[in-house]
Amino acid sequence: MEASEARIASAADGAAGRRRLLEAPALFAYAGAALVAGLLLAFWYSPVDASSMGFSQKILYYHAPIAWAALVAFGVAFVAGILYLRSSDLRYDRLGLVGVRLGLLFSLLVMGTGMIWGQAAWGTWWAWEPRLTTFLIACLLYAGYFVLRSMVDEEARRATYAAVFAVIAFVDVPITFFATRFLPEGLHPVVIRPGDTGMEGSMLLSLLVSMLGMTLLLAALVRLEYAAELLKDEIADLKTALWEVGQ
Amino acid sequence: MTIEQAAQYVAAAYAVILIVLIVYFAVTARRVSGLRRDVELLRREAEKREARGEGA
Repeated sequence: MEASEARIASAADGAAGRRRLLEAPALFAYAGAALVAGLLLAFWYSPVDASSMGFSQKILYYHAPIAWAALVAFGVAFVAGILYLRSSDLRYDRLGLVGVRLGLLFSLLVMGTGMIWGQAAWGTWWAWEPRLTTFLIACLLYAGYFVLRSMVDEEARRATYAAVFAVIAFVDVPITFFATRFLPEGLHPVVIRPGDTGMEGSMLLSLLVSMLGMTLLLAALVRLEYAAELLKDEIADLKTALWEVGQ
Repeated sequence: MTIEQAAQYVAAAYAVILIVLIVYFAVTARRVSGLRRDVELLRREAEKREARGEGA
C-alpha cells in the first residue's frame, strides 16, 4: 500500500517536474541559450555571403526567424479563434488576443529590420514588392483586430467577432509566406526551395538554431502574456465577488 | 558598400531587435508580477470577509 502511494507520489513529482520544464522561465532560458548560440554561429561560424548582399546578409539570421515567429503567432490566433467558435470558452479568446498581440510585435520587428536590410542591400528603405506589401497588409489587418475589440463592449460578442476576424485575417499569412514564389519578380530572393536550401551548411545551421530560439521565445512570451490575461480575469472575478459580498 | 558600412546596418538591426524584445519582456514580466500581487491581495481580502461572514 505504502509502496503504491510512494509510486503515485513519485509519478506526480515527475509530472510536475516535466511541467516546470515547459513553464515560461524555463522556456526563456532555452530561448536565450538558442538565440545566443545562433548569433555566435552567424558571426563566427557562417561565412560572409558571396553575393552582392555581402556582410548585410548577417541580418537574415534573426530577421527570418522573427518573420517565422510572427506567422506562427498569427497561426496561434487562428487556431484559438476556431477553438473559441467551437467551444465559446473565453480562455481561447484570451489566447487569440495574445497570439495577435505577439504576431503584431514580431511583424513590426520584421518590418523594421527589413527596412534596415533593404537600405543596406538594395539602397532603399521601402519597395512596393510582393513580400513587403503583403506583410504590411498583414500588419494593418491585425491592427484592425484591436480596433474591432475596442468597439464591442459585450464580452461574448467581442470574443466571437475577434475569433471570426482572426480566422479570416489568417488568409493573408500563406499569401505573405508564398508571395516571393507566386510573384518572383520582387526584390526578395527565394532562398529556400524544395530540395535546395540555397545556402551553405554552416549558414543553414545558424539560421535553424536562431529559428529554434525565436520559436521558443515566442512560446515563452505566449505563456507569460496568457498568464497575464488569466490573472486579469481572476482579478475581475474576485472584485465582482467582493462587491457582491459587500452588498 | 564596404564591410564597415554594412556592419553599421547589421548592428542597427540587431540592436533594434534586442532592445525591443528585452523591453517588451521586462514590461510584461513586471505587469504579470503586479497582477499576481493584486490577485493575492484580493484573495486574502475575500478570505477575510468570508471568515467574518461565517463568524457572524
